[in-house]
Amino acid sequence: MTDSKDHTTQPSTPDMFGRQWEEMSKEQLRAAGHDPDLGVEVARDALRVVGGQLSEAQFLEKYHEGYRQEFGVDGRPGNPARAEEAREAFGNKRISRRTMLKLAGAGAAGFILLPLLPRQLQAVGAGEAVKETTETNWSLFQYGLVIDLERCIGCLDCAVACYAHNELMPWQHWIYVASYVDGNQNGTNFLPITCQHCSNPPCVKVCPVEARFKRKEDGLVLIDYDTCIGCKYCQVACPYGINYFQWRDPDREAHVEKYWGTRNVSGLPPGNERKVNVTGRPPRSVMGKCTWCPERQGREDKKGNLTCELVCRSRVLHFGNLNDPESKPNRYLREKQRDKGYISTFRLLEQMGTGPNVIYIGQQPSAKAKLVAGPVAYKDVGLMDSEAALEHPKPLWFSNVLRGGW
Amino acid sequence: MYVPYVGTWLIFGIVLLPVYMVLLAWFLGKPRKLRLSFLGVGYVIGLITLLWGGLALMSLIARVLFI
Amino acid sequence: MYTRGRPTQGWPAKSPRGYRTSFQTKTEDLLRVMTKRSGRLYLLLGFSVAVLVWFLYAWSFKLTHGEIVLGLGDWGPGGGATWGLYIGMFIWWVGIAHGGILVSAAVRLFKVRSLAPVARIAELMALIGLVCAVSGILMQLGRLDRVFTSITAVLPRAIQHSPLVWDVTVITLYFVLTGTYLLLTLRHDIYVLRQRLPPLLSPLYRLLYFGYHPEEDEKVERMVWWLALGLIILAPLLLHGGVIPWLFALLPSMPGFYGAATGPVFLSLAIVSAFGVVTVVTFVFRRVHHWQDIFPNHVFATLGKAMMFAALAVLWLQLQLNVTGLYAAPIGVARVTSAKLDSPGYWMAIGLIAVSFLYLAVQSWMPRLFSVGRTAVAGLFVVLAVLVEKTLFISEGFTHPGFQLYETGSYSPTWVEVSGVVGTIFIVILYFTVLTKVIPVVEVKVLEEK
Repeated sequence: MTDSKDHTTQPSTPDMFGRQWEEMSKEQLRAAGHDPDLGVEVARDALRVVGGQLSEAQFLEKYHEGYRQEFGVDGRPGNPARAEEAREAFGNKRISRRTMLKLAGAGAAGFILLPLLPRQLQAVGAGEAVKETTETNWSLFQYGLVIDLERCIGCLDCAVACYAHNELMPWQHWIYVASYVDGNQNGTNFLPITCQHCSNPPCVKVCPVEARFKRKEDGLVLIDYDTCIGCKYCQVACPYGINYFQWRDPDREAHVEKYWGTRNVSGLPPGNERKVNVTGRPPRSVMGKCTWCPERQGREDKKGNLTCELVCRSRVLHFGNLNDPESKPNRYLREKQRDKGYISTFRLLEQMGTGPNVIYIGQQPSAKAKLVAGPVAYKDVGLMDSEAALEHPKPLWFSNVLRGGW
Repeated sequence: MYVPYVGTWLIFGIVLLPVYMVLLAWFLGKPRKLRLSFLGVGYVIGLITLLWGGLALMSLIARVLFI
Repeated sequence: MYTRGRPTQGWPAKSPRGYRTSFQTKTEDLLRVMTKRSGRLYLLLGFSVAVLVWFLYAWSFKLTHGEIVLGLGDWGPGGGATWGLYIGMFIWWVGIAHGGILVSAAVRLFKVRSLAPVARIAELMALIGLVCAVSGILMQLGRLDRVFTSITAVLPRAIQHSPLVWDVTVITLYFVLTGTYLLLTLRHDIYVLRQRLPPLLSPLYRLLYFGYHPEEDEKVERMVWWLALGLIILAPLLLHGGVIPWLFALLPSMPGFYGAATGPVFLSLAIVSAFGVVTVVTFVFRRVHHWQDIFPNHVFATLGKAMMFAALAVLWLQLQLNVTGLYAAPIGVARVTSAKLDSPGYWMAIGLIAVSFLYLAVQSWMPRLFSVGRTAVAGLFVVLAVLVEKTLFISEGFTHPGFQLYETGSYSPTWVEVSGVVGTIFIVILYFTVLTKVIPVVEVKVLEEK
């Protein structure tokens, strides 16, 4: 399936050895932005130290700059700059050549293997292929959601909680639970949809005033309510339909605590950070959407949780850093895989190239899926199913002539 | 290729080409009457100011009347 | 009525209303109209101002009560359309504005002399067309009070990635370069006529021909030639065939929008509506002011032929869209194409364009069927058709999104949005009514030919 020349996407296996493994590892390191030649040279020169062709001091000095460039610090034991710490660590004994060889070799092997590890875990745990990223901003910390469709019962608790927490209007479904029937699946199925906080967000690209931005520190896609001019182009560009414009003045007061987060529009030099208003419902004539509760992510006691996730009675939602193999969503994926032996996951509308950060466990609705009423109706919980009931002025007499269906 | 930055190439490399051409022709073309070339540029800048000044004024009016 | 002692061909048999004495030149005719005041004029001015006031009222109603007063809504679970008549109107007016450069380039670059009398009217139309287009966008915005500060704060960055900013940039360029074109060509005309123009506006006239010297004509001619060349590349290929369709064509979220065909389709509709409006406006001038000698029949014959070819391009490109969208298209594309073909509005629009095309084709083959009035009606048909088609294109894109799970939405414009469209039409009427009295709407050089 993968191109044999495309070594960056193949996981390593015990069958590979020797030159093939070395070539493949080097390509993977380079793809991750590291310098493979440093490790190889260090290992080779370590052998020369053992063979007496190079002194320890020369060896340490030769790669001091290289280590500092690669890692920012030369943490090797025996490093003249760290002599004091090394002496404490090793009890002031002399380090033998053999030990140093081991250490150098371990260091080289370590930083060849280390970048591979999270991808490996993700690939094995989640059962999906490691993808070459087309993201325009590679954030080390990327919040994401794992949504277990096999557990969702369509109770709408998440929708009500989000509505209450963010003080939304009844038609603003920042989390929308679609109930549908499908030829491929039995009965009524549920698909909760939130903003996917994409890694390659089209909404951020099209915003003419850069009110829509992706936060570097955690990968949330947010809207700066004080800059947005309400052109709605983000809503046009987003393929998921998760944007909700504030069409009129909300009819209840907002009491949600405003979180003044920092803004760092991706790809720009630092120093452009400003405190911006991004949480809760937007003011009138400005765009709003699911925010993944940045007011929680900024506080130690509430970090890593969503309102909808906490309220869900079926443990459907699992929020955390998708790039951390030990995070809540990744552990959930691994556990489920272990329990069931096999899981199927998908992401929504991946072919649009948006890089969504919501992983669904379960079956994707087919093209023939049809929306139906769920066990709990939106109006039963005080919300509105669609905007048809909104009080627009009456349509004009010729409107029906122009569109279909008469 | 870093896709979001296609706009830089698009605008400054393709869309503005006719504008560069016009300006070059004004200043390098015969008869070489620089006074008129500068007049043309003056009209251009004046009209940009008029258009965007109008937009600024409209924003101000909207803010005063409706916010 | 006679001019130059001979009856003019195609003159109506009965004597026209209003006074007429024999004139020496067409320039005199123009000046007569510039200085004439009549009850009809004041009635038209008054009515236009009243409509303008209503237009401003509708806009302020929307600013006060919010976008809820429009027929727009959130697409997807909301089942609405995010953009509608306002953006349709915006695209419509920008298309109409292209008439300016199309006629000017035809005259200056390609030496189509028969269109020379309408060049200035077309250019004036371009200016006001762009202003009306921009008003469509501004009416659409939620926070008009912030648009200037928010855009200018990040313009150098946002231009790198946002198609809307590209749009704003190129529209500014087209407006500014057309305005420069007009200001440069007006210098000679105002100077030559300065003694005979209304003395009340002489400060304005002095400003317009400021620093004029007859020797500058040669250089100014070269400058505007280059401007016309620059604009014929910029406007059709990069504005209405470029950044404007790219607002839609670059987004895979809506199958109705995405694709390379969107650009050529937009351009074809723009060109046909541009020629249509020039035809209608010229016809109105000819009728109202009895300018049969300034705008003789051959002007309309040429405009008719241009409209005919543009209409053919529209129909052919619609054929491409419909065949590709129906044969074995992906589900999303097939869905929006069949919705389009199910809507009476689409057939009305295509029908109007097809009927106009057929009539104009027959008229060009059989000159005895030629009629200026009918050509103008064809122009009116295509202009109306393009507005309907554009609005449908936009709203149906949203009501049939790429995300298949959502149900089909719906969109109906409200009185606020329609007031916006009607208001901009009367802005144009007011503009031409006033400008006819202020500046010569036909180039003096052209008037003094033959």
